[in-house]
Amino acid sequence: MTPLYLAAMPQWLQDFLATDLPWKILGAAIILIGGVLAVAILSRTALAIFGERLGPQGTMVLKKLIRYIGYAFAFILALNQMGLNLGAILGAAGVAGIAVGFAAQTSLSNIISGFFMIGERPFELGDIIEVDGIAGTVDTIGLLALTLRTFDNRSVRIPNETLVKTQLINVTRHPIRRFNLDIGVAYDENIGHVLKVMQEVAEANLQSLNEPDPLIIFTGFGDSSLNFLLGAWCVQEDYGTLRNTLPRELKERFDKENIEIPFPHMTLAAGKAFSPIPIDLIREPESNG
Amino acid sequence: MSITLLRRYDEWRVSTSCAQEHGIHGDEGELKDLPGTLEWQRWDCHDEDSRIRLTPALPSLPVIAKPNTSLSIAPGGNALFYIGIPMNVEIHGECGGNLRRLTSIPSEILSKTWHGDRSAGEVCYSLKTQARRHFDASDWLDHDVIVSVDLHNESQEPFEFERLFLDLGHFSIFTYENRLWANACRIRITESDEEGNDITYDSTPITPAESGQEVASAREGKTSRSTLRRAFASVIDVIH
Repeated sequence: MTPLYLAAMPQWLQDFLATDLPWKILGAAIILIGGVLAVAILSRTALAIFGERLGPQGTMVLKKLIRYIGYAFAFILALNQMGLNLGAILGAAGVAGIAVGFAAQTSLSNIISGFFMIGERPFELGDIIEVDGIAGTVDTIGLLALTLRTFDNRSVRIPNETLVKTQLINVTRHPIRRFNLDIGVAYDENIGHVLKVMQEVAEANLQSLNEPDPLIIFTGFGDSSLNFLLGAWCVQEDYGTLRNTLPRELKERFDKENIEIPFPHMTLAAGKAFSPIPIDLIREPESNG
Repeated sequence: MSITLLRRYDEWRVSTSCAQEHGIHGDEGELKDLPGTLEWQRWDCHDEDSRIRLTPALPSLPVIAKPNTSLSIAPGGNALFYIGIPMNVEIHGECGGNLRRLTSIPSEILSKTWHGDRSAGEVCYSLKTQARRHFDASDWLDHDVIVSVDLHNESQEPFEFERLFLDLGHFSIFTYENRLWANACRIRITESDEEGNDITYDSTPITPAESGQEVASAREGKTSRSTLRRAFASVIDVIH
């Protein structure tokens, strides 16, 4: 006997409800909703466990990864619940996957490299890095590539694979940094006096740190000058200012001390050094008379 | 150094300059006498705001004091040092009826130094000091805040006093006979590890300034015996 509430329904709805399809749809919906909830819980748990270690970008990637895989899994289960032949679908997906894999070798390489970078964490968002001669601030770290903002405000996309393969310099990893200034003075100058003046200039500079001690060394005899290196330490934020102030202050002090910074020059000598260059007169000067 | 304060057009203006460079002579004058080359910092205030207050303050960063020559303190010995730290001038201006801190101007620009290794640490001011053993008023400049540090070497080894990390957060400033003093500080060195050392801040300056009047309270509050890691670190730094 048909219940009264069914009898009130249209015939097509009664036919539909008489099949097992509504239950399959309901089961699939429950799986999908449960899947979404499970993904959210899994994502939160994973982030709580690994979040600190992975950093903000790694966290974002992990979140996406869990979400995509979780949703795909829930979708496949829902299809299975609907009675679709998963074997055929997965088989087709496998064949398609091989084709896509061949076609997207570079992308896959970048993704895998991205995982390595996230695991290794050689830099963080906001760090200043140098890759292949390009220096800039790390703007975004993606699964496929990293975006650098150069100092002249250009955006440079660097594939993750390149980051793994090439030398990468993280400029701001450590809180302090050394600015190296090469300078040459004339051969007439007293090396000890020049070293003392450089030390005083480094100590007087407001950005240069007293500790670690500034590195001040005589590096050798150049073609036209006695060469020195002044390496002054500063905190990262002061680097730009130090780069501007230290050379200026050193030049001003050298001027004050009459220490000459020579132009490149060449001394011509014939045979024995410092002997006068012989001059042969090949024609008698014409007499005025 | 000269500090020029101006209350004009509903704003406070403060300028720090080398008085001679700008041709400022004397403390009196009219607005038109001020050189046009002064660089101003400006703060908005209300029409009726007129109060201004200047207070001494200690530098915002910790200080690493290095005696010109180191001193070895024998086991069981103690040594009292006086260190002069150039004060900052804090300017508070009335804004909307309340005094608000406008700026802090150092009386002397100190160079910076690094406390820690090259991977982690903190930036400090560097201060070369005579580390006087006796107080003589003529040794100090008017803008120096005198900090007394009493080192007790209770370890079995002689202790080489070469540098001292001073976290200034627990020091208040007192005035006594036209001099600025900080509350006394005592460091007890027992072993060369972190747990074995202790630092104590007194509530008043050392004699003869113990009856001095407090003019600026400690930034991080008063503490009699610091259990802060940073405070211990100061002792560790004394040792190394």
